[in-house]
Amino acid sequence: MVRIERCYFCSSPVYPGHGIMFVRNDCKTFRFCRSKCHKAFKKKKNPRKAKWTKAFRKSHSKELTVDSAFEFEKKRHVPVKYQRKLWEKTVDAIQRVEKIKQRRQDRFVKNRLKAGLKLQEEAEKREVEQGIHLLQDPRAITQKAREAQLQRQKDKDKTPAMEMETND
Amino acid sequence: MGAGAGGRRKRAHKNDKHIKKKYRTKRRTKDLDEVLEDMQKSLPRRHTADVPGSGQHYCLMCSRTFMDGKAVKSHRNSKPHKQRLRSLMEPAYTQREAECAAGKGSYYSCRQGEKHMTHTQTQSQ
Repeated sequence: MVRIERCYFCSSPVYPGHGIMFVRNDCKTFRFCRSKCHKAFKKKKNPRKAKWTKAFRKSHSKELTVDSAFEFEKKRHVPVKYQRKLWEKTVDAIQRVEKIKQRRQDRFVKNRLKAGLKLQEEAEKREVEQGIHLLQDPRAITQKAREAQLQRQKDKDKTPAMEMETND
Repeated sequence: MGAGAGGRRKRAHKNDKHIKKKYRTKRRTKDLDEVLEDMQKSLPRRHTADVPGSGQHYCLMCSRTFMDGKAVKSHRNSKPHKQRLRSLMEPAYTQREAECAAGKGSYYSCRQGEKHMTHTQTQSQ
């Protein structure tokens, strides 16, 4: 039966006439979408550890993993007799489910990235605080500096008198 | 030597035969899922003439035979063996997991335990 299989390594679809199948000594079959995946399998790489595979993305919770929207697509070994109405309904349902799934996945990723956005905002704030002198008007700075110098001089004039007082 | 100064030599890995031999499927060593199955079976050791030490000194996890007990002992202390033990801690990767990752059913990571996986399997059957 013609069926769109899934790659053992990267979980991408394997269309009829594409990819390669490896049959192990114990009759277990492994399908691969391209030579990249086949080679990785031959090198005994772990799909959960290769960053570009779906298994990695899911096992490290980079993507939505558990959801009711995933329960529609299943391998069903029960043949269904062709009915025009059922066919139309199914096609319609597939499109709607796909839309919902996409929306939920997008929302999940957005929420996941929120933490990073917060950190980025904090870092930017810190940068502004540290480099605020670059933003201020240089004339204002000189004015302030002059004022500060005057103040310092005044303090200097005062302090010897204070010391004398304390000495007595 | 191929392209001159500055250029990269062509077909630099042509003679890496040991690597090519290692990755061939002709004498493929056991995969992790096969080893996990073997560990549950605990088969008796048979005398086989064509493997080192007649197949009497065997490391089940690494599916390797050794000459004598001493070699096995030193192997048990080696890094590859310890790495192997660690990789055997988690359940084996299956086609079913690949399909779950592709979106055919929810995906439960191996760290959460196999319980969920078997649960979904029974549901689908």
